[in-house]
Amino acid sequence: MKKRVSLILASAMALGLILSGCGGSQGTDAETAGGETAAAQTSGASTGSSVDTSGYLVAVLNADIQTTDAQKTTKDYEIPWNIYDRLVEVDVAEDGTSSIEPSLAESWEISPDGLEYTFHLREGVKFHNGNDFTAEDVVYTFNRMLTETGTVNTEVVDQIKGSDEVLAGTAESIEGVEAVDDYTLKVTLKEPFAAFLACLSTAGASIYDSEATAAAGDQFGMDPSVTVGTGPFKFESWTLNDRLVLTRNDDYWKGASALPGVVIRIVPDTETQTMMFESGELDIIDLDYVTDAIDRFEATYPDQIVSGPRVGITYLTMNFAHEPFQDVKVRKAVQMAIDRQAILDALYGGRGQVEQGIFPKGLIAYNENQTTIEYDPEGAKALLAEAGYPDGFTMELSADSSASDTVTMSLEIIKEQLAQVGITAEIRNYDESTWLDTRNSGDLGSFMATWTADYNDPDNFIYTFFGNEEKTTMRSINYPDAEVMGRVAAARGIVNEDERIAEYQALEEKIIHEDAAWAPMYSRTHLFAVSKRVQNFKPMWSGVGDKLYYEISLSE
Amino acid sequence: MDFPVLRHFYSQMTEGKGGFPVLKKILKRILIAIPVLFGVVLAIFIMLRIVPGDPVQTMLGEHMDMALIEKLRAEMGLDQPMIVQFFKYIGNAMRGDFGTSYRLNRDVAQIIAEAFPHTVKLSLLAAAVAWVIGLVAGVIAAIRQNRLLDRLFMGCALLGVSMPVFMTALVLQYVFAFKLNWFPVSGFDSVNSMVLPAIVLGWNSAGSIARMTRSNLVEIMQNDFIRTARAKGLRETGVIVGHALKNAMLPVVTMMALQISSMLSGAVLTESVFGVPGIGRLAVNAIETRDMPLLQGTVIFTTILIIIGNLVADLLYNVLDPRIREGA
Repeated sequence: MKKRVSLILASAMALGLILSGCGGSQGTDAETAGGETAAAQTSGASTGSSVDTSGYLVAVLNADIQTTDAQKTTKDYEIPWNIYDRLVEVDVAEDGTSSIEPSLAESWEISPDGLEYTFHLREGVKFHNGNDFTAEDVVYTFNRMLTETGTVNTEVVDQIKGSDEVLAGTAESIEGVEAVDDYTLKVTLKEPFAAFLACLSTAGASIYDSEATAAAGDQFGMDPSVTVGTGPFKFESWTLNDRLVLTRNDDYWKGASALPGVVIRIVPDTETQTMMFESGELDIIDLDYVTDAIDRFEATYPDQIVSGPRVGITYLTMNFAHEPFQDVKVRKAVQMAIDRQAILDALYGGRGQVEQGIFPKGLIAYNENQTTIEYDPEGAKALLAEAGYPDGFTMELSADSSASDTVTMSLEIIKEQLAQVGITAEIRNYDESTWLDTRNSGDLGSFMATWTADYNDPDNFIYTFFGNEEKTTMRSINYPDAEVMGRVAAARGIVNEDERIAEYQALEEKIIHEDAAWAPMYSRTHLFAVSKRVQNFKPMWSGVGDKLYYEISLSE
Repeated sequence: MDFPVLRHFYSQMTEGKGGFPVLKKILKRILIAIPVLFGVVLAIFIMLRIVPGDPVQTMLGEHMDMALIEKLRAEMGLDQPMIVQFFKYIGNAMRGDFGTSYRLNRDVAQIIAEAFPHTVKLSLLAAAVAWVIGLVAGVIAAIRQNRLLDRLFMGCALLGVSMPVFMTALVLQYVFAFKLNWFPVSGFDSVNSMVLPAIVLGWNSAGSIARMTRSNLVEIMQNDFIRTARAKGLRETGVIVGHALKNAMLPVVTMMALQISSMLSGAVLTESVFGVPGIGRLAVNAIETRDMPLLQGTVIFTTILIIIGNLVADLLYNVLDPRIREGA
């Protein structure tokens, strides 16, 4: 028996040899291979939390994040919001209006031509490793966005003079970013870009420590011990697919948070999340994760629901490259055939409001007085007949299978409503990757999606969909009017704020009401449920799911 | 390819008096495993690139533009021809470098090494549940054939075999974690939190094992040698444990090995429901996000596990049945 065991061991070693690459001297290779695995396992265990997290708030995400490096992700912003600061932040007033507030920049001046920004930086701010925050850190951070491998938020700095040259590799550093002294920073833009300050308030514009970040290399954002910012929380630990832990920064320049720390659990299953909340294992749950249980949450925990408006527009596209959507009458008919309030009521309990254009409520440039689209199935039928489709036509509704159940159900309702005016809609399901691939190629049929504000400026919406031919193709809209798109791009540079807003509202009127380029749907309220002990939790101004923990406290 | 080390092993272990037929068999299996692995990698590699969906676009989601997509594709080496990508991958993999996960931004080998202990723990606990409960229930049911305990156990076994894992998971989670509060709803860090996942994953196998043990045992108890054993004056427990059970175990062992792959696929669901940070969840996430390096890594890894599992089953078979050992 003993002999057999040793044979098995020997063969396992031989297998190890094959796997480790068959080269090198005998025997030692197998040991090395085994040793490496063991080391990896130990280091895996050591990234787990060693601090006592009792007393920490417990939140949940439904998938693990890619990185906490805000320059390298377009969606995993929850940790960056809490461990870094930006030059400026968005502040929301009691009445819901938001404004740009000083943060790491105490004040700033903008030259009359809108090209030169001079920032006066806050003194006495320290990174988590004890380093002082200075203008050099901002210069480093902005340059890193264009030079580091894997960065994706290049739009934060791509309006700065000299950014194209750095991206193309013909210049070492961005010409338009300059540290005048330790606490003065001068930024020069290529051309006026009114949304620049708003852009600097996004998570992607988080400021890093030049010394620590350069030293950390590609481990920045991955290894908690080298990932430092100036924010109210420190990145304590990260156990892959299990939890992220943040611990209070006692030396935060605005004053330490009342919260000792935060544990963010990674739980993919929505039923499990619900049960965790109901059994007291969770302090905050994003009800977007459990859309079909919202009514139950509202009935069971009426005093524990926190809601905020979502500065996001849900829209239904009509691909100009597909028959018969070239005809404006057909597009108008689709706009009129959909009863948006009915969908909002049926699926979201009426939580939200019907939208008429591109800019949702809460966004600057939101226009209360624009043309409204009325639900009018008879009028839609008449328009279809005029367009030469008295018996309707067949179209595709393209569903992304990773979207929530309620999105799928709203497509079902839209399908029913379109059938009322004679249009046969076929719902086709794609998995997320395929859906995106097809959409970016410009060939996706009609789809419904929501765009939520990254920063509070109409440019963030209209330029994304109607900024130029590439943009509109990648959204499978294929809006053909180059002149209008030229105006959209030019509006970015209008220095006078009133003129700029007026131009955006005129463009919205033209694109949505004259050209009927998409069917605006609604903006939905974002709901969260919190445990009884959570005090002072406020959703983000834009209504995205990322949570700010700084102002939260726990009552015992 | 030349394997001097293997040749050395082979000659050392197989030459000389008598040789080691078992070792020969193992080595043969390992050599067969190499083309199998190669084929699996090639298949997954091609499949991932044929299906629509691009990892870069999936990564960027709503926020994409052409310049950014091209920058990232170049950085990831996705702009190179597929054949170049493939051989680069194979070359690196031979040296133990399985690449960097797109979605998780870490070394694939490290991710798997971190996740694997959780899956092993879960599978071993589930296997323990399956073996102990399955065997005991099967034996008792056989002894108490057509009596109340038999019916009860076989009813549970049937339930285990026929209920899908996610359903068992949700029901047990609801009753024992949520309603009765005996165990945490999710997590995998304390002994308490491992009970439900282990039962959920083990139940299905326990059911199969119990059913098979029972039917084999019932059949074998009719044999002449059992009558002989009884005639010798052995007590009934002695007859069952010493004579009947060993013979009844053969097919059960085979099944146990086959269960390795079903346990791994069951682990995918169990891990998702209970929030266990294991291999199964990695694979599911990797497919959803077209995370090619991570999916390739997990597929290679699970393939190796299944190959080893089958090998171990074969060896156990040898131990249990001398006829096979001699025939090898």
